[in-house]
Amino acid sequence: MSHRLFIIDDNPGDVELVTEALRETGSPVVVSAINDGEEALAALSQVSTTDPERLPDLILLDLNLIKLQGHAVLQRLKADPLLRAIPVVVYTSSQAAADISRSYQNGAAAYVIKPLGFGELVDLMRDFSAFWFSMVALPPHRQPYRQP
Amino acid sequence: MSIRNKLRAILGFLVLLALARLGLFGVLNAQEQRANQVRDQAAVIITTVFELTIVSLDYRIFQETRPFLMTEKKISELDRQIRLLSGADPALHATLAGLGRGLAGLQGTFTRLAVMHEGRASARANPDGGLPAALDRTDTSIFRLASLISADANDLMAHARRVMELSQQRARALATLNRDLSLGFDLLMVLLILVIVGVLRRDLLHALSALGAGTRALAAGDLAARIQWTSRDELGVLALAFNDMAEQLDQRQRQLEAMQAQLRSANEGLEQRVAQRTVELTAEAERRQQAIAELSRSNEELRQFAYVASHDLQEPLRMVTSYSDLLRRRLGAQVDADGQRYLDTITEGARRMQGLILALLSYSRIASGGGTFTPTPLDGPLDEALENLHLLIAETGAVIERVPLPTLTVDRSQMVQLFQNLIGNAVKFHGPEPPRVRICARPQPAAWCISVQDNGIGIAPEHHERIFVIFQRLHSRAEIAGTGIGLALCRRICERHGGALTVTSRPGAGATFHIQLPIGQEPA
Repeated sequence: MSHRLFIIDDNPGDVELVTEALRETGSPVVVSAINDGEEALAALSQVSTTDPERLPDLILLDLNLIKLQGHAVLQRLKADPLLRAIPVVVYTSSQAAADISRSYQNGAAAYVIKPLGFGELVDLMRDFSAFWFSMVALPPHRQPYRQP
Repeated sequence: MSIRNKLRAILGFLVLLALARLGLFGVLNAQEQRANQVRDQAAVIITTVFELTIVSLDYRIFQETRPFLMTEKKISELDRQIRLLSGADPALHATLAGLGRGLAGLQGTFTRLAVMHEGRASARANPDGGLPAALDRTDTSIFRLASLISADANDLMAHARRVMELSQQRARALATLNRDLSLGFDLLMVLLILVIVGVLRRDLLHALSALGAGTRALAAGDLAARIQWTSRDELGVLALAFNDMAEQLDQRQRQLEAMQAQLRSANEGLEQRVAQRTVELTAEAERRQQAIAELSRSNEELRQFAYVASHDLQEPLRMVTSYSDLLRRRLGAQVDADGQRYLDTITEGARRMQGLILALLSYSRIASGGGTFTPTPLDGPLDEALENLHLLIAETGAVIERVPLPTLTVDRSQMVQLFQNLIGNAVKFHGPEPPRVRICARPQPAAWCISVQDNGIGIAPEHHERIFVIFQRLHSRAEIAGTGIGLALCRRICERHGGALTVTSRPGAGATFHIQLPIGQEPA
C-alpha cells in the first residue's frame, strides 16, 4: 500500500523537486500539494469529515507561505481534533533557531531544512521515506475518528 | 592686692588676734591666779590672826601665858607670810606693814606679859624676896598690857580682815576684767570676721554676678558683652581673660560670617554654573539618546535587511542549484562534455552564491544576533574550534601547539567562530611544509593578547589591511577555498568585544594574528 504525502508549499518548484526525488528513491508515495495555507486547511478539514480514509499519512509544511503563515497553519492543524494526529514535518529553508523551536513548540514532528542541491535532496528523501514510511508506525485513519 | 594675699592677710590677722587673745587670757589668768593665791594667803593670815585673837581672849579669860609660847611658831609663820605677801603684792603693802607692826606689837606684848607673869610667879613662889610694890607694879603692867592685847588683837584682826578684803576685791576685780576682756575680745573677733567675710563675699558675689551676666550674654549670642571689672586681683585677671575670650569669639564669629558670605556667593555662582551645565548636559544626553536610538534603529533595519535579503535569496538559489542538478541527472547523458561543463559551472556558481550569502548572514548577525557575554575559560571555545576543524587538521597533518588560555567575559559561540576561522586560515594557507600553528597568550595592562601563529605562506605588508575587508581575497579560488569573509568576521567579533585584531607577517615567513581582548569590559 502506498503512502500519502501532503505538501503545503507556495513554491511549485520545491514541490516538483520533492516529487522527483521521491520518484528516484523508488518509494511508493502519492504526493499531493496545495499552494495556499487556508485552502490546504479547508481541504484537509473537509476530507477529515467526509472521507477520512483519504487523509494524508504525513504533511510537509513550509513556513514561508503567503497569506496564512506556516506557523499559524501548524497551530490550526494541531488544534483540529480530526487532523492533529497526522505528523507534520516542517520542510523549509529557514535555519533560524526561533523558527525551529517554535515549530517544535507548536507540535511539529520534525524540522527539515531544504537542501540546496538535488543530489542532497534525493539522499534526504531516501532516508526520510525509509524512516517515515517504513520504520515508523503511522496513526491509522482508515476508519473515521471518534471524538475522545 | 590679690585675693589670695587678702585671704592670707586676713588669716594672719585672725591668727594674730587669736594669739593675742590667748596671750591676754594667759596673762589675765595668771594675774587672777595670783590674786586668788593672795586671797588664800590672806585667808590663812586671817585664820592665824584669829587664832592669835583667841589666844588673847583665852589669856583675858584664863590669864594663862602658856599659850603664848605656842604662838611663837605661828607668829613667825605669820610674819613670814606677811613678808611673802608684801613682796608679792605692793598694793597691800601699807596694810600688811600695819599688820606686821601690829603683830610685832602683839608679840612684844605676849613676851612682856610672859616675862611679867614669870616674875610674878617666881615672886609669888618666893615670898621673902620681892617687894609687894614690885608685884603691884607687875600686876598693873600686866593689867595694862592685858588691856592692850585686846586692842592689839582687834587691831590685828582688823588689819587681817582688811588684807582679806583687799585681796578679795582684787581677785574679783581681776576675774571680772578677765571675763569682760575675753567677752569683748571675742565679740570684736566675731565682728571683724563678719565684716571681713561680708566684704569678701560682697566682692566675690559682685565679681561672680558680673561674670555670670557676661557669660550668659555671650551664650545668648551677644558677642559684644564684656565685663567691667578692673580690680587687680584674680577676679580681675579672670575678667580680663573673659573679655579676651569674648573678643576672640567675636572676631572668629565675624570671620565665620565673612567666610559664610563668601561661601554663599561662591555657592550661588556654582549653582548657576551647575544649572547651566545640567541644561547643557541634559541637552547633550538627549542628543546622544536620539543618536543612539537612531543608530539602533538603523542597526536593526540593517540586520533585518541582511537577514531577510539573505533569507529570501536562498530560495531562488536553491531553485537554480537543484534544477541544474536535476537537469544534469535527467538529461546529462544527452548533453555533450561542454554542455556538462556549463551545467557544472551553473551549479558551482549557485553553491558559491549560497556560501557568500551564508557568510554575509553570519557577518550581519555578529552584533545583533550574538549571545550573552559570560565569563568563559577560553580553552573551551578553542577546543570546540579544533574539534570542528579536525578533518582539515588531519588532512593537512597540521600540528597545533597551545598554552592555557585565560578566562574572559566573552560571547562563547563567537569565540568558537573566531578561533575556527583563524586556525582554519593558519592551516589552509600552509607552505610546502606541514602546517604548524602556535597559539599563545600574553597579559597586557587591562587586556589579554592571544596570538595565532603559523608557518604558512605569509602576507605581504601592503595587503595587511585589505585582508580584513569583507569578500577580499588574495588568492584565486583554485588555490585556496573560502569566501573571503573569515577575517572580516573575526575582526568584527573582536570589535564587538571591545578589542582588536591585527596581523604581523612577511611573505614566506608565516603570519601571526593578534587577538586583543579587554578584561572586564562592557559588551559593545
